[in-house]
Order: sequence, then C-alpha cells, then structure tokens
Amino acid sequence: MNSLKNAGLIGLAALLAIAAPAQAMTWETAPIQRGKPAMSANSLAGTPATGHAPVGMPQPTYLLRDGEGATAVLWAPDLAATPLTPVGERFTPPATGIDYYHLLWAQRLQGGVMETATRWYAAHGKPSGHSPSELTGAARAGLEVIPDPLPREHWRYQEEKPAAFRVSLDGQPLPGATVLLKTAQHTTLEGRSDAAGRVVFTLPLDLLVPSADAPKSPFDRGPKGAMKVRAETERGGIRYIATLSADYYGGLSRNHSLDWGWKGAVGGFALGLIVLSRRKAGAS
Amino acid sequence: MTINVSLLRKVVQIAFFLFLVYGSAIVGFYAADKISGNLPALACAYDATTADYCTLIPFQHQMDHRVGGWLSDGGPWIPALLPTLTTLGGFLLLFVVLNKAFCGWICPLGTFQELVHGLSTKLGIVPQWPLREGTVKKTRPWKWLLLGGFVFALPLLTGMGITPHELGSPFCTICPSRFMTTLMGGDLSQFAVATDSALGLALSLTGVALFGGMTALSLGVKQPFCRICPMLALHALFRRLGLLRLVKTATPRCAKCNLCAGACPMDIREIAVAGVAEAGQAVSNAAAQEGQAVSNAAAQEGEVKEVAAKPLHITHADCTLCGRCVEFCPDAGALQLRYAGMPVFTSDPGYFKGRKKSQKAWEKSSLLGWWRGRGG
Repeated sequence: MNSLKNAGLIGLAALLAIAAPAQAMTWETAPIQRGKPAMSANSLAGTPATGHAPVGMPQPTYLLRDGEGATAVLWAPDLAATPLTPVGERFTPPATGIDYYHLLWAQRLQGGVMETATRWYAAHGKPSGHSPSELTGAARAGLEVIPDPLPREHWRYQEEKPAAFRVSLDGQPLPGATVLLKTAQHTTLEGRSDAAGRVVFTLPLDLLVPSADAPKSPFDRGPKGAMKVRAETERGGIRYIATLSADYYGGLSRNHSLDWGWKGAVGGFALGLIVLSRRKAGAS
Repeated sequence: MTINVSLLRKVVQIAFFLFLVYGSAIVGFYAADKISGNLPALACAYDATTADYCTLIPFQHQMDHRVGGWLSDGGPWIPALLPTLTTLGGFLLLFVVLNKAFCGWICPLGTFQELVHGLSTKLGIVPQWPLREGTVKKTRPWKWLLLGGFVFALPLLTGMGITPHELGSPFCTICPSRFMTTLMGGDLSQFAVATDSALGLALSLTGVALFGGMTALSLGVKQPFCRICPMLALHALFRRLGLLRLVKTATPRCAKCNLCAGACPMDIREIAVAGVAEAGQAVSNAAAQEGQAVSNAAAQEGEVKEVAAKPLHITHADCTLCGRCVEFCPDAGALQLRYAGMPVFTSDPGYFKGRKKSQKAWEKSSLLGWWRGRGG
C-alpha cells in the first residue's frame, strides 16, 4: 500500500514538474560586496575608473540565477559581442567605454530546452553613435523578450504605467505567445503577444515602501523592485523559454498628486486672468 | 509676389511645433536618436514623442552630476568639465546658424503662446496691449535670474551637496514647456505635483501655476513666458556670434513713428531709437562737409535721408528675430535681417503698406465683433 502511495506521489510530482514552469535562468543585480569600495581609488568624484556606471554609482555586478552550463555574452551598443566569464558566481561586464544601453545575454540548450535570459543596463561613456533600437532590433538566436521601448531618461518603468515588450524567436516577432510578468512582490500578470509580437502590461502598484528611518543612498529614487517577464513557446521539438529581468519604480500616486497639480494650474490661470483684468482697468 | 513674412513664420513655427513635439516617430525614441540633444529651444525630454532635447537639460544635469561633485571632491578636470563644454559646443554650432531666431521661429513654447494669443485675438474676448515700459524693464532681469540661478547655480550647489536633491534640475521642474509638450502628447502625469517634501511641493506647484498663468496671460499679452525665459538669456550671451542679425541703418526720422517698436512682440522700444543719434550726427557731418547749413528741423524732416548713419547690429538681448519690426518699418532699408552680412529681408514702403492693411483686417475681424455687429 505504501509503495503504491509513494508511486502515486512520485507520479504527481512528475506531472507537476511538467505542468509548472521550470525555474528559469534569470539575470539579477548582485548585492554590493561588503568591504569593497563602490568606486576605485583613482575615480573622479564618484566616477568609477571604468567610466561604466553613472557618476557615483557602484560598479554594476550581476548574478545569473540557475544558469549552470549557460553561455553568457555582453552585447555593446555597437553590436560587438564579448563572452563573459563569471568570477565566483558574479559577472562584472567589462567597460566598453561607450554610451548607453548594453545587453547581458545568456543562453543554454539542455535536454531539448533552449533558455535565454536577458537584462539591459545603461553604461556611461563616449557617444557610441548607435541607437539602442539597433541592439533591440538585432536578430539573435532563440526566444527573447525585448523591451519595446527601453526605459530612457525621464521615462522609466513605473508602477501604474504601461511597460511594453516584444517577443522574438530567432529575430522574428512571435505572435500569440503567452507572456507572464512577475514582480518580486508576487504579483503575476498574464498577456499574449499580438501580431507584431508585442505585449503591453500596466505595472502593478505593489512595491513595498521602505520605512522612513531606513538608510538612504544619494541615488535613492523612492521605492524600487525587481520584475521578470517570461515567455515560452515550442517549435521543431525544442521548448524555448525567455526571461527578461528589470527594475521598476514607485508610481506617481505614492508621492505625487494630480489633483493638486490641476488645482495649481487652474489657480495659476485664474491669477493670470486677474493680472490681465487689472491691466485693463489701469489702461482705461 | 511679396511673401508675408509673418505668415511664412507661422507656417515654419507650426511645422517645427509638430516636428519637435511629435517627431520621435521620425527620428526615434532614444536620446541617441535625437537631432542634437542641445537644441537652442524648449523641446522637452519629458515629452516621450519629442524630436530633440533642449540644451538647458544637459546643462543642469552636468552642473548637478559632474561639475558640482568635482568642485566639492576634486579630481581630474577633463571628465568633469568635458560634457559641459561639449554641450556648449553643440549648442553654439546650432545657435550660430539661426541666432535668436530659434526663439522666434522654432521654439514650440513660443509658438504655443502665439497661437493662444492669436486665438484670443480672433475671439475678441481679451483686449490686447503692449506692456508698459516700466513693466518691461522690471521683467527683463528675471531671465538672467532663471538662467544663473535655476539652470546653473542651484544644480551646481546640489551637486556639491549644499542644496537638496529637488534642486538638481529646478528649471525643468517649473518649465512650462514640460507641461505643454507632454499635454500635447496626451500625457497628463507631468501635472502631478510632488507631495513627498515641502520644497518639491513648492517647486512643482510653482511649475503648474506658471503654466496656467502663462496660458492666461498669453490671451492678452504677447509671449509672456518668453520675456523671462532663461533660453532667451543664454541666446543673449552669444548673439554676437549668430549669422542672422537685425541691422539698422537709422535715419533722422527714426524714433518718430515708433511703428517698429509697436510691432515688436517683446516690446523692445530700443529698436526705434537705436542709431538715431548717430544718424543725426551723420547728417550734420555730411552737411558740414558740403558747406551747407542744414538746420536740425530739416534733418528731422528727413530731407537728407540719403545721408544715413552706418548700419548697426541692433539684435537686442530680448529680440527673438521674428522680423516684425522690419515688416512694419515704412522707411526703405532702415531695418534689415541680414544673414552672414547679406540682406535677406529689408524694410520697404510698399511691403509696409500691404502688411499694415492685412494686419488691420486681421485685428478687426473677431468672433465677438461679428456677434455684436450681426444685427446691422
């Protein structure tokens, strides 16, 4: 009886393993290591010696979760590819010296499953002369979730704001793919890519607000959290899984008021009219 | 056929307005796609569909993130100052081409104010007057204060850690172009005021109120925000380098009619009097050389108009090179727009006559006027 029960449990476990999505390979930002200076000694007022991160920001380092056996590559804005080798479990992308978006890309083909993990980061340097759209539009093998568009200055992933992605298989848009967006706060959104392989989510209002007495860095821009966008498909007997990881930030409703903004604008308009009417009286 | 310069300018303004507010569909979405990133006009980076960025944005960022930190912490000067010098260089390369005409012909915020003013004129709801001389004089220093304080000093102090983070890019926080261009793109989020700090609230409320106030004032005053715009001040600093210039060959009749000053949307009364003393002197000198006794009265009547003063570059700090003063000057050749020394538009009595007529017709026909006069 016991052996039957055990066999049943094993069978159920096997079924669950097939049905539930596997723990996908994902890029994550690595926590800053204790005892290591954020900037090198010969840096300029907080500029890392590599000229890599924004001024004063620590040198970016990444972890590839569940990435055993994967090939990791850094794609530069000029589409140059550099193989990456981890030190321990950390990947520190080499400085390319050029602006702006770089792509961390890792891929693994194992047991009929091809997994691709991507993460985009901005590095500072001399202008590359290349648009980020060249890197987002470049054809790469396998399934990929690509930001469409990437966040840019004064326009970033934010709670309650739309975030759009494009699902691409071997460089071609993949329509009808199921796409899951999962946040670190366990919110899951599901979407389906359209004819152009595009899917748009409205990011949830779910970030945890740090307590008021929590230490703040000079670069603190309010609550921030991690999200993963995952797509999956099967073609030619190969199961493709793609994961894009990114950060998103606190929404405007947390520390902004549109209501007061409108009142301010209407108040300014009324004040302007008063000034005009006083001018009229003076002139007459 | 004579081209109506005001009409031509309106067409150029509207074309650039559409391009600068919605042009990302053509040039691309990212900063690297933009035309320059140093535009000498208020095209806003907060506008997701813009075709270019205003140069005041990088200046503030560089003061905050580069120069301020370098001043407080030291280090090599090249990486600290090079971005600012690059921005200045990029700005100047563009600026030299059109000089202050970037304000009068290209800037989307200037166009917006002129369109609101034009709409008000057509509706006939708010009477239009030039600003009083005293008001103009009181207003003029504000542009320097905004340029020095909000574009350079406060971001610099923030970068040095003296002033709080909210003052890192304070001009962008209050700039009406941010509200106008994002509103035109259907994004209302920029109107949300910051409530997490008293300073943030004060600054962002000032911004939305300034936008509301500017829109209301545009109904009765020409280009109210342009008068205090820090971009106007930045242009003023380098106006001697621009290829396009306003040049005046004054005659003794100048400063009599004041038509040029009256036509100026920025109420620059100095256009009328500029060079008049020199013109009087030129007349006297010429008369003396010819051994004639020319009375002052005769000189003032312009009987010796052909004895004109030397052409003077009179592009005022507040001038936007719109060309209206040239259009409304009745004296042949007294005012000119010159490009690299070559005349491109010269005042002419014939043009003046036609332009004055069309202006009267434009001002006369309003919706309110039609409504009042519809019975008889």
